[in-house]
Amino acid sequence: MSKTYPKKERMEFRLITQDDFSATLDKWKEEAVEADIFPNEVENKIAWIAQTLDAPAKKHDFNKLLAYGVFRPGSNIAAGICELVLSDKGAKAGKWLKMLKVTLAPEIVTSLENEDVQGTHVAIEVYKAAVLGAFTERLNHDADTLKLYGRTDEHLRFLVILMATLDERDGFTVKKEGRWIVIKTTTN
Amino acid sequence: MQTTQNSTLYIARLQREAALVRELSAAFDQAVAEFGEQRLAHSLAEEKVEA
Repeated sequence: MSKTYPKKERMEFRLITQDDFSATLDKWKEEAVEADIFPNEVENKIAWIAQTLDAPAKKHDFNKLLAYGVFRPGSNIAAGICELVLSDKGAKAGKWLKMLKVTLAPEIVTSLENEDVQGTHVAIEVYKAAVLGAFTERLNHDADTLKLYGRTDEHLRFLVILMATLDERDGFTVKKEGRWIVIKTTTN
Repeated sequence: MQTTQNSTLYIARLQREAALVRELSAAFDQAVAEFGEQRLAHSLAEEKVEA
């Protein structure tokens, strides 16, 4: 299956609404069927979003999952779904916004398996939009720290390189805590 | 006077934040270039269960 993706799209990062969730679920299940993946498998992966819609997290709702999506401009079908959690570690450690996971749309995963170059670009753009979006979003939750979780050893290796490239720049303190990369700004 | 000062501080904060996002974006691109685009993309994709 060969798909054409516009290169270097400017993706949007925002909280997922009920309409976004319904549209995304329908489309992802369609994509799963096309790619010979069990649609239920896809549904199970993103079912947790429903609970966030039933009881939306408030600005200072701690330890509650926040469902954010990465969307192509004007679309309500997510290209990626992000699992975030807000934690309050007290006055000394501050508030953390933690990005636990980014789930890519089945269509993107399939294009990666088919070694599709544009699919690779899109996957990177989705992840970049998630990282930059979560960084910006931390202010809306009054959090001073962003933590990124390395889900696999390979993913963690990338985050360690990101830590090194960020450490060379002004305005950040970065460190590794287990499988987490902790990003804090020094100018707040 | 107070309102003007608050607005100035707010604008300064927005500008500082925008500069940080630009730095993070550049650091991300540099990390991807060092790590490999394809390698990162594959590390983000999960295993699928064939129907």
